[in-house]
This record gives sequence, structure tokens and C-alpha cells, in this order.
Amino acid sequence: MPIIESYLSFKSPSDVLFASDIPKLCEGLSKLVNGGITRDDFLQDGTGDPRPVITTSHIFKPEFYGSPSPHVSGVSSDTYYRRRSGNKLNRYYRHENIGSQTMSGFSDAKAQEDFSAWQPIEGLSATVFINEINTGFNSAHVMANWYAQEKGGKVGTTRGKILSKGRTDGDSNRLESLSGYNRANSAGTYVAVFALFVDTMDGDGPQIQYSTRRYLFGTGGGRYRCRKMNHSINHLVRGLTEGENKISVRCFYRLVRPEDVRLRHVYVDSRNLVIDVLYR
Amino acid sequence: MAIIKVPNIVSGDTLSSSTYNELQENIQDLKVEQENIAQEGINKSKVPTNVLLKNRFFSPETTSSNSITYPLAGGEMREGEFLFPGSGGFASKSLITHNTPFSNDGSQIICRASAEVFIQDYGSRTFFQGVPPTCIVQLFYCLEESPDVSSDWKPCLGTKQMFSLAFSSKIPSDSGGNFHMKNKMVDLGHSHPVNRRDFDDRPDLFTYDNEDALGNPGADSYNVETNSKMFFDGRFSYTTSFLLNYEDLALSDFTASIPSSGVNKVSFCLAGGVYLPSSIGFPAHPPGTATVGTNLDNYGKGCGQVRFRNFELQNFSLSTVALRA
Repeated sequence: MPIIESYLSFKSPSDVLFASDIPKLCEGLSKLVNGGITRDDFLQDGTGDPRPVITTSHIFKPEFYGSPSPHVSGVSSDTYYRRRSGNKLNRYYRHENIGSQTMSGFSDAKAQEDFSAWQPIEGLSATVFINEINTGFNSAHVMANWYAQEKGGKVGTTRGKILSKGRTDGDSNRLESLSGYNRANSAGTYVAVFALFVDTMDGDGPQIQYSTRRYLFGTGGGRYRCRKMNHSINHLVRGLTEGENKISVRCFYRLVRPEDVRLRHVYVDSRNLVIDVLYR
Repeated sequence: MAIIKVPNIVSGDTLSSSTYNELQENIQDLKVEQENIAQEGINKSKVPTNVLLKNRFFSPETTSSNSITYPLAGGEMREGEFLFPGSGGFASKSLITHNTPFSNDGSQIICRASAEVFIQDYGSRTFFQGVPPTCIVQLFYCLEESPDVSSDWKPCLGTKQMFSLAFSSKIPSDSGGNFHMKNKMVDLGHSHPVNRRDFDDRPDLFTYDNEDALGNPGADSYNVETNSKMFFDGRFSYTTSFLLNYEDLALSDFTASIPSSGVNKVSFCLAGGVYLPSSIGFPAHPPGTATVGTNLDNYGKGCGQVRFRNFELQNFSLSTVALRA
């Protein structure tokens, strides 16, 4: 305690303890406590280096919350997470009844005009609560991945029907050929678009984060399994506001025509979402 | 000693010099240890802003036009090499610069990136065996003040991912009754030239449009040069994150020496490359020059030459954050 040396006054039995010695000692203590502790004031290990002082017991424990909004509330950040396994019981279904648009071509401009057709995916959505907005960050890292596929669409002609026609004439051969063509065509048609949306509850509604869009194609009646896709995003969200903010990966379901039966369900199976709210 | 023991001083008793000195000795001998800090004493109220997060920078907010095209021409494509640390694969749109000095104070920089990799259908498995054309995407970093395509970019190890198509649309061939092939077979002396087939006859071959009302033959509806009417474009997700330690800089073999005081900027970008196997005619027939349907000596053998098209990074997002030691 080098700093306090000059404030100490050791006494011999015949010495007088003056009243001024007490405030002097207190002043020395205040100098020490108020920023006067130096490297040499720490207990040292055998090599002369200060021992590690801060342990986990000294740090405020993170608070762990389970259902319905699992998250960890820490000192420098809050982490919200959602997990859904690939079990079919955890499957998220999407089809034309839950918001869709009919569009031809590859442009998704129409989808961007009607955001009500984008619906949040269970297991890829979370409401995060920002309790400190004055830290200057107002940001969150969002990491998400999911496994999606189109299923149930009726494309092409059934095998039984083709075989019943036989392969003896041009019509039957043409039927089989057309069936294959339609399946390939379906596998080249995107059936769903995924994107991250952020609603800061400012009254403007959920806002799409354009740079997170991911596309899902049809499987051609289940023939083209390469169209079962795993998608992922890693995105930094800015401009969060104090209080509730709704962050979700949403799905837009697209039909080429209203009566289209080539594309039916969209399954979103394994899903993971981690939102890391940055504070300091 | 971590704890200051206060001697028992009772009102009315004489304060001896030894008692007073004992108090001072305890203060003098104090050594700060774990016991001096309260349980959970370091909490939110004790951690000011910017203690952990040194600074943060973000990728430019993007729109639907957010894409990078990797053109395959000239020196930007090299057979058998997977990486482009600089030249052709530099993606200036994905450049993100961390403007905070980066020095040997234990700071770390984390860069996160994700993108959608778009690969056009190119006839991936029609003619050749082995490894198909493969796109490579990787995160790179650079320490220069104004990084550009010629800067000294270093790869972020472990962030390389490769993408290729498993399926392809069928490309024009004699089995499809391509009009060109019909004539070509006659030129080669076949007594029974391949009959042209139109879409109505064999829709799965989709090589030829129907005749018009005047009986004029249609044109190829499928074109390997424009990739029109091909169904199996690939769209894959690329997602990665990378932690850069200052110590890593010394291991990266930069051309210029790193000043002991650290660097002013660290930049990251996404870069890519393509592996093109010789079995698709490269480099004898680089993209844009190969003929269609006439190279009977190559793997096409009478079919349209496979044309690998550009691949693109679309819908990408990068962010960096620095952590203080």
C-alpha cells in the first residue's frame, strides 16, 4: 500500500495521539480506495505477478429464463434463442391458406408490396426486450438456420396412369415425356421466400431486411430431393428501440396461379434462432 | 493480508499506542485479494458502455439489387485453383472496414457474414465424370488503408465453403433432335439424318419450339449460352463468422511489415473462385468461345458444349465487432 505510507503515523507509548492524526488516516484510506490501488497492492503469486482476483462469483450471474421466451440476461448482452428439432412433431407447415401471392416469373416485387403475406415461422421468431437503450448500440446479432422443403404438390402424371396407357404410340410416349417436363419445370419454380423481419413497435409494422432473403424451390412432386434446402442467415439488426422488438424469420408462400396444385405444402423442420442483443 | 482487522476500541478505555499501531499496520499490510470484492459485485451498474464492445461497424444496408457477379473471363479463372485472394474474386461491394486501431492489447475482431450463392444451371452432370464445376466462397481480411483488388488480402481460415450443382437440365444433343444436329449429321454423311423433334413430340427434351403458323421451324428454346429455360439454378446459403486475434497477423505472412503500434484499419470482404474441370472443355474452350454442338473430339461428342455461367453472391450481409481484452 505505497500510497498510504505517508498518511500513517505510528506511535510509541509516550507519544501523543493528536486529533489531526485521525482525519489524516481517513484521508489516506480515501486516497487508497478512491483509485489509489496499484498493481503492487494485489496479493502476488510465487512469480511476483498479481494473482487473478476476479472470479465468476464476483460477476453478476446471468439470469436464465425458460418457456415461453427462453433467453439469458447478462451484463453485456442478452441472448434469446429458439430451437426446434427435426422431429415431425415440431414441423412448421405453410401453405396457401396462410397468406400467399400469385406471381409468375422470378421477381418477388409483388411480395415486397404486400408484407401481410409474409408470416412468421414458429421457432424462428422472438420478442426481445431492450431494457437499456442509452448504451448507444441498439443492435442485435441475429443468427438463424432452417431446413425447408416443398411437399405434397401434384406434378406430372402418375406412374400407374402412364403404364396403363402403354408405350406403344406417340400419345402415350408424349404423356410420359410431358410428365417429366412438368416435374423439372416445377423444380425450377420457387415456392417460398424467407426473410428476416424486424418490428421495433414504432407503428410502421415489421420491416423486411432485404439482404437476408433466401429462396426455396419445388421438389417436382417429390422427385427432386436436391430442392430440400438448408438455409442460414447471419445478420446485424440496427435501430432497436427500448422495450419490445419483434424479430422473426418470415415465409412468403408463392403460387404461380391460384388454382395451382403443383406446389402445396412448405415444411420447415429443424430450426434454430439466436438473437444476441448488444449492450456494452 | 486481504482483510483489515479493526482492533476493539471501547469508549472510556485508554487507547494504547500498540492498538493504534495495529490498526495502521493492518492497513499498511493490506493486499487486495478475492475476498475484497463482494459476491456479484461486478454487475451491470459497474460495467460502462464500450467496456466489452470496443466499437462496431455494419455492412451497408442493402436492397434487392444487392448482388455481386463473379465474371469468368481471362485471368479471373484458373483451372484447378480454388482461391482468389485478390484479383478476380474481389467483391468490392462486400468490403467492410473496421476503422478502429487494432493493436496488441488483447483486442479481437469478430466478422460475421452470410450470403446467398446463386449458380446458374449449366449442364453439370451431362457429359463428364469426377468433380463438377465448383464455386468457392471465403472471407478475407486486409490491413491496408485503402484496400482494393490488388491489396494484400489474407484468407480467414476455416471460412471457405464450396458449392456445386447436383442436377442439371438436359442440354441440346442429337437425342433431342436439335435442328443444328440434324444438319450436322447430314454433313457427316449419315444417310438417315436425325429428325428434328419439337416440343409437342418430346416436351422433356424442350430443345425446340413449335413451328409457327406459316410452317417455319422454331428456334431452340433451350440455349446453353443464355441458360434460358433451364430449371436447376442453385441457391445456397453461405454463412460464416471469424475471430481475428492480433497474434494471427504475425502468422499471416503479410508483404508489408506490421508496425509495432498496430494498424489503423482492418477490412474484410467476401471473395470467391471457381474450379472448372478440364473435362468440360476448359481451358481449350474457355467460356464464351466454345462452339456448340460441333466439338466431336471433346467430351460433348455431338452435344452442346457445356457453358459454365457466372455465379453470384446475393443478399449478403457483413458485420464486424471488436471485443476489448
